[in-house]
Amino acid sequence: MFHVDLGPLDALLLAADFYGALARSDWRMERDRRRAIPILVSKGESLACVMLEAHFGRLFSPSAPADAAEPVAFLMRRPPRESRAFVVERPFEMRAYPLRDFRLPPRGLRAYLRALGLSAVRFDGPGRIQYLLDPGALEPVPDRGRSA
Amino acid sequence: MDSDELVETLEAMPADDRDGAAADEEKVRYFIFTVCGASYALPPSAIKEIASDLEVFPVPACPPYVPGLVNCHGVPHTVFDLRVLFESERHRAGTFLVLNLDSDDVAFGCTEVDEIAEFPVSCLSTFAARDSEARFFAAMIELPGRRIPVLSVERILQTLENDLA
Repeated sequence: MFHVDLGPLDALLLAADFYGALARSDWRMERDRRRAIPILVSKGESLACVMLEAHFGRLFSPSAPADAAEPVAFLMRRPPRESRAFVVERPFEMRAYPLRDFRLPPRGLRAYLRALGLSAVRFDGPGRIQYLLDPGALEPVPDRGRSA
Repeated sequence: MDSDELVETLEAMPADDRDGAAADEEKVRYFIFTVCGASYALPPSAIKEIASDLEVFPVPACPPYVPGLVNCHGVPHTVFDLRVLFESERHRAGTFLVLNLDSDDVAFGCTEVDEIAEFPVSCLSTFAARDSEARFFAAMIELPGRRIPVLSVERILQTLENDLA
């Protein structure tokens, strides 16, 4: 899975959820004016775009600064719904974790977190939490007029 | 029966009976703990474990009385900050009461664990809704000069469920 360092926490994305990845030089960003969301355009294809950092910035308190990195877009098909791109602007790497390391959130929070796109947690040592993302549940964050 | 009649009745009662009545009064045990100087009670059976020095990890967009999750033996537990729930002030808990629940994994943050104490049933009153946080209490332990609310875990969890709905 893709392990993305988001400062105070890590986001984990299952590599199997994506059919491809694009380097920054392979796409341009546009803006869907009607939905006020960023659109990734590559090779004639337009994909609604989830900016991972913006998504987590909305969910969590302002995060501690982490290293920026060359953006990468992960591409996901979601038939019958529109395909989607997930742009990662933080350092990431491929890692493998045993399934037994993951835990569902406590029952009282489970449905709520699932709706926010967080499907499981993993504790990485005593001082670090990792959230396994359900990319199918992550929605593009409206940019409220900001240029995409 | 007026006071005089009560005293007469007690005087007529053999001393053994009076002692026996006091000794036979049913008692209940409660686990007493404090959150920033305020005491609260829970049935001892409600608590599975007392854990210290656990890091609270952030959880997104939850009500302020849920500061995050703790890792208790590898299992994430929802933390409740009771001080926020009752007084809207943040409290950094040093100790966590891991609750013994079948339905969920939950820990209450607290400042200090006091004791497991025994109280006569007559000290318990059902709590009248005269305090704003009464909805979180199942009963009140009434002692001379001291009142200790017995928390209703069910109602506290219900509050989170309602707030997230």
